[in-house]
Amino acid sequence: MINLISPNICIELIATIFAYFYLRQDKSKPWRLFFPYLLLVTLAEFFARYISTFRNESNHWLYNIMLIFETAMMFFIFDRLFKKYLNNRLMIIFGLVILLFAYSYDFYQHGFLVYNGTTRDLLSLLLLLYALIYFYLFLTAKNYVVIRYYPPFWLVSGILLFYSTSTIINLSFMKLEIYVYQYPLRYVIFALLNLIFYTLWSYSFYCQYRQKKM
Amino acid sequence: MELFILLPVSSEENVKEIIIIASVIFFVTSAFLLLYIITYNRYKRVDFKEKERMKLAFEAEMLKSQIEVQEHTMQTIASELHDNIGQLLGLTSFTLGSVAKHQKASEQEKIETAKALSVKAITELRQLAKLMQGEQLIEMGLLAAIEVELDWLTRNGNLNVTSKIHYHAFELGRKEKELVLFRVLQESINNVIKHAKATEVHIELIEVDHYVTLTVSDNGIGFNMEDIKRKPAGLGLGSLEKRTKMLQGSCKVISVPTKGTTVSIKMPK
Repeated sequence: MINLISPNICIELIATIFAYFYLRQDKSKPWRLFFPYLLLVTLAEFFARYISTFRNESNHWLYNIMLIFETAMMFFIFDRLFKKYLNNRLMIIFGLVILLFAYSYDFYQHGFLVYNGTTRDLLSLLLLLYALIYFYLFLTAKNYVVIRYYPPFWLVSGILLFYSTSTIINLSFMKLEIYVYQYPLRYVIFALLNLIFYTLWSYSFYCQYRQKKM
Repeated sequence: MELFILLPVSSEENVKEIIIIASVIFFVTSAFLLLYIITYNRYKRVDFKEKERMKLAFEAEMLKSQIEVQEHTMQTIASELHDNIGQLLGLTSFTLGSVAKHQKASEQEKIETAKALSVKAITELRQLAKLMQGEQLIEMGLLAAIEVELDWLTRNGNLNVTSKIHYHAFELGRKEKELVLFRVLQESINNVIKHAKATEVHIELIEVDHYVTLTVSDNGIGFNMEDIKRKPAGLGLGSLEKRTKMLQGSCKVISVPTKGTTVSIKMPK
């Protein structure tokens, strides 16, 4: 049982708990979606680890499915964030179309049982671009807030930090076989990135809760 | 991610390279976020200062319009008082005078009293009209206007009025400042009469270097400064301050219960 619970899963579980406690009674529907999404991610990671550790089988197909949910969630977040500043959804629709083609291409190239690396890389690049656009719109909007407690800022910061570094790791075709405390180095790097990513997200949940309370 | 991958072996240099690149990207991104927060807060401060400046400018404009309307209203009332009511009282006095001649002694006395009262009312009305016509008074110059005010105060109150005046006309040629000073004097005297229960009032108008200072002090009952800060409207202090600030002046009010009050205005020439 202990083998099933990895550092990644612990981090995700803690973030899920934060989402439950801070957002379950939030009046805004988009914010309430975080809890079911993170719960799904945690369960998927748990199941993926079970498949790879106990059944010694490929779990790529599960991550290919999770990629769809991840894309949907991230694009939903940015759609809501951009709504405040832009009148149309062209950017979001354009991004979705690109990813749809990428997903189809990956599927055509190697089927569903091999991980869709191209789609993943494109998703990361698109999310990076959206994050930078959001920061620009936020700065130039002149509707100033206390940034320290502004939930969307910390949400997008987590996305920027995670996807900028993970893109480089993913784009490098040198997959890291070196082991650090019985884990592959790539895994360790992603665990650290996940820690930072989910910490920032948990903080944004707290800020959202605090805002509603006040 | 619990991604199950069979990994090819890589050289140590490549691994180091990747780690260095990833670390650089991470720290650059973190530095970007930090810089972003600093820039955002700087923009926020600038925006706040700009909004404050615009708010002050707007308030000054509003106050200027308010004062202009007030002055105009007072001018109108003063004219009406002098022209219409003054005439009515004059007619009343004349009518009483013509009635008195044909009455018995006891009734004549009453009529003479009524006539004296209406004459007094006419005099008071003329003085009041004169005082309300601030701009017209200032046409004579601030010194002349203050003399009229002090004269009226001496004759109509139970106050011992002393003054010290070392002043030449404002060199900047703006009647606005003289009018504001005069209105401040009137407001302060009004407060002395209505609230202070004073027996003495001292007025100073002193010109020193590039400033003119007007001080009105009394030996009245004074008031608690903290109480008035909460409700300044009753003594018109808020209005005094705003008017003075509008012309780059400053207003200081010092009062101690039972020890009197001093209102001091300082304005650049």
